[in-house]
Amino acid sequence: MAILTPSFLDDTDHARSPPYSILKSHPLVQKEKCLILWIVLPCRHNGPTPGLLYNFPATQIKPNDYFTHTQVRLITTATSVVVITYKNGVIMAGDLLASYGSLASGVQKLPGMLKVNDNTILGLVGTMQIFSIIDEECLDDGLSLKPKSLYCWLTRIMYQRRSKFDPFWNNIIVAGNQEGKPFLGTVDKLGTAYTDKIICTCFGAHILTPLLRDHLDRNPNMSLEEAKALLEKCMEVLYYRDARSYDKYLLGYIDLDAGVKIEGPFQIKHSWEIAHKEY
Amino acid sequence: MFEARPHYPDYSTAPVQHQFSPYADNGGSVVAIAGEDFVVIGADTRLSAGFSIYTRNQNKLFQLSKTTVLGCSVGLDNEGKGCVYSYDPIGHCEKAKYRAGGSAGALLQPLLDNQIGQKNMEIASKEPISQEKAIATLKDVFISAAERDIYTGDSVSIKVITKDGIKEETFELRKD
Repeated sequence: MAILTPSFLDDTDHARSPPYSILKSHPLVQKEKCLILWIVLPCRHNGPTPGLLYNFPATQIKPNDYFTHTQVRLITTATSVVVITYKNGVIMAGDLLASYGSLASGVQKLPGMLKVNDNTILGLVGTMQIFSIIDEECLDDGLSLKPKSLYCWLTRIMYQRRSKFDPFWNNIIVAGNQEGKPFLGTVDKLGTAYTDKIICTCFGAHILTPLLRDHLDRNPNMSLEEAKALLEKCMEVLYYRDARSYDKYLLGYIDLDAGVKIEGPFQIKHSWEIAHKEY
Repeated sequence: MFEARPHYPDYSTAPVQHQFSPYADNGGSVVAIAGEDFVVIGADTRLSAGFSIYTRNQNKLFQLSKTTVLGCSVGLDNEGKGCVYSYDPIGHCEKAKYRAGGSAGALLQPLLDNQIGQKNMEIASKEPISQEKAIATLKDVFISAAERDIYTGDSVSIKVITKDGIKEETFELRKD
């Protein structure tokens, strides 16, 4: 058995991308008697390849790389959504950032929450693609779904898609007025669903759930004003601690008397003075 | 082949491959004990994923009929005697007098073997287990499970099935 090294190639500039045709035509390779030991020896690190267009960071984009499957696709995402029930309804807060991986791709055009009808709002975290599905299949049918029915339907949709190995990469939160009682439920990409008085997603689940549970234990019958103030505090904590958060947020709430409202954007008051402090 | 070029994930234009597993372990335990003319079943109310607790009050017992509750499958048989059927992901199905399942199943089954089954005891009581003893033991084993299993806790919802119907109660567990 022979071992070929790149030295048999005269053009060392091609060391970055092995010229397969040259290798294939080598007599030893053709006779399948050779083990190819390919050592990439770039002539310079971190720089442009001589004779080629400078392509930082030198990855090739093929047209078919995108949108081949749900699991392999570019995703813009909304992050933390925080929802709590108060005495007379449910209130939801979410910031206005749409991220593209760790790259903030700007204030999103689609809000992370939407009014479904007069007794339901929906919070969405994850890919924005599911908006259109909910829009087509549920908003335009002229029926007024109650939140529990929408929640139940969404658990089936999410579970069906996970079973097809083509999940919707989302957390969905349904908040509403279910026959005069506040309703709050969520479903994730696996179809795992539950109802509770507090639901937080993403980073908020880690830093805000304990804070909110403690708060709700002390004051289980919050007024709307108290709930708004609490969520403002939550969004501030989130803005300080979560790298993928933003200082503008929306508030959506369903008050059993006042009905559905989506308000904002609100500006978080923040101060980084402590960072400049000298000790 | 060696990749000598440094990798900058944040600047990559290649599509990101997300790993998708359709399974999740949400934890939780269920225990059922059958007596002469009753059966008691309890399930904790914690729903978790990894180190996160999704909710502290998730119901895991489902009433199928006047004399049947699904958790493990539990009910009164046609002679009015308490019985427990367990069924696992492998397909193993068995009628039993007591059973523990779920995240603390392996922790609790030996405890039940000792406390309810009185296995390998020289002086074993011949008396069938009373309802009070069954409920007390069920509470005790959940307290024990909550002590060592992070997926079991918050509270236990208990259902007691007799010929007169199903009684419900909840019992608080540690919440950490």
